[in-house]
Amino acid sequence: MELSQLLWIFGALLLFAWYLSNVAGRLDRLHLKAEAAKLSLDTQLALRTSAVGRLIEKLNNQNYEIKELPEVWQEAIKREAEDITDDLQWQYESSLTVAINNLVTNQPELLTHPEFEAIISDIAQASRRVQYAKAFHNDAQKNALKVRQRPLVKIFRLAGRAKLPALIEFDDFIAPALKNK
Amino acid sequence: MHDLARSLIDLGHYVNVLTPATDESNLPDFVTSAGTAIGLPYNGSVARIKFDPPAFSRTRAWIRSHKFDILHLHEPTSPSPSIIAAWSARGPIVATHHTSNERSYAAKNMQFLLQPMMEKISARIAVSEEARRTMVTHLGGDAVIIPNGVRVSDFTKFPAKNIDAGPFRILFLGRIDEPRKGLKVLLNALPKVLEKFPDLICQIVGPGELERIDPKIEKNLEFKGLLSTIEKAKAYASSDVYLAPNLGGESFGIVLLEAMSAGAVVLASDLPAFQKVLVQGKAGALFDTGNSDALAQELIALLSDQARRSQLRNLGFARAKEFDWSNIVKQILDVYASVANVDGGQVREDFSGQLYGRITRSGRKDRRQLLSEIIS
Repeated sequence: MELSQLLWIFGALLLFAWYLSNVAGRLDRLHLKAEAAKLSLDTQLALRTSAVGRLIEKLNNQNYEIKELPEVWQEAIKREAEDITDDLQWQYESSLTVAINNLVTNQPELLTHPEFEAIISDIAQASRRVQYAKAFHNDAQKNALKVRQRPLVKIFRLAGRAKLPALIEFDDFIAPALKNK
Repeated sequence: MHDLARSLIDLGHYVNVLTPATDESNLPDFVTSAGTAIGLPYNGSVARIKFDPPAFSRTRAWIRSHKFDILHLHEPTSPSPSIIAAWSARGPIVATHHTSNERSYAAKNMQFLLQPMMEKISARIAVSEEARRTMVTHLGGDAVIIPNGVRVSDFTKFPAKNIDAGPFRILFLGRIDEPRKGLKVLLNALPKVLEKFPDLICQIVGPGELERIDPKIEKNLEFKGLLSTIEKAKAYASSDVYLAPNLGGESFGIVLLEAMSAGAVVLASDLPAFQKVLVQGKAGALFDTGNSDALAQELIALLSDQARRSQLRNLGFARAKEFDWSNIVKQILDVYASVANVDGGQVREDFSGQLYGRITRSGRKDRRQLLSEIIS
């Protein structure tokens, strides 16, 4: 083999390596964004749970009869504290969403009650933020996953030991009554 | 976007806007100039382009000197400080997409160049369903829909025209020489309308000139040139009907909301975006897009029916109120909160992992800093 041929091969290899490291850099960026989005989602969920907690306390103080919400809330707060996100947590977050929506639909007088108005609008805000955070989270995860699934990325293990991005599904519907609070 | 900035400032937030400006001496104090922009005709409209070395250095300096929690870009796919900011910054970045355009070849062909910038954006907002669809087809990903707002109070400074006092005044607003704004459709409809209402006055507000004016309608036209917001508010309030005969390319109808805030009744072409703003014709009248006869017919019907006009005026005002910035800004803040760094990290200049950073090694700074911290 001639020297010039070797140089060509060497050059091509170098270019390929540079390309790979570029993809790895991009993947790293996407993973970081996805992780940040997960942190944001966790934070917004925790804020929602704590707002619901304040509402429950207030309802109890005023001797309001509520059943569904406190039970679901207890479970949700337990799962969030354990710091293991799994299907079960999303089940509880879904139930919490449903319980919040049921409460404001079945007891609409709470929405205008001077004692609860402020805290309910906090919950409405937290619910909107959860909805946004979930949408941005799933978008970021999808983005990372797409690059992650490329054959080149798999063959050369460009993702390193980063966790496989995953979408999250839970009920984040906001009852119309709560929407503009 | 100045309205969004003002609404945020009203709520006590720190805001700074970087934008191309034509007159640098006359800027509000929350605005930083990125230099003067040049106009470039594109896609039937004039795009204001700002994309030269001074713009790069000004944008980078702006990002370094303000320690923002959130960087909000507007139309990040156009060659503007937006894209430069996306290219040089890292951190919580929000982007708003306004364009609704089915065939934007430039955007499609540029996609691979834009990718690294677009991938840094943590949250995308589209101003309408149409804008969202355009964005999804050209760039992929998803966006939440938050409409543009209007500062209703800016347009209620003048009392609305007495609803039964003639002669009738109608208003068109937009570039005169831009076909998409549909002034032709209106002018072609006028002769028919003038048969019924001979002393109707049609005010035309906006830059540009007509090549030829039909002598039959000339005496009924009033050209006003370009107006300031206050003068615009006055023009809306002094009109019975505001006309929006646009042919397309509108992703949202902010002018319709302005007119409705001031108490004018809106008659608009039935573009999807306008239909949505006018609640399928409940908050304002609609006609078949581009059809002068339909426009004439609707306008005559509207001018002959005082009860309907006063009903539409009330419903239109209520609709505009829904889009008041005080409501919209809440949703924008929700988006900010849902992507803001949990640990309080700010927007900073960072080129690591990007071509520019690899060549200039400016992305290595963080790593070197990290190393020196470990050693000490």
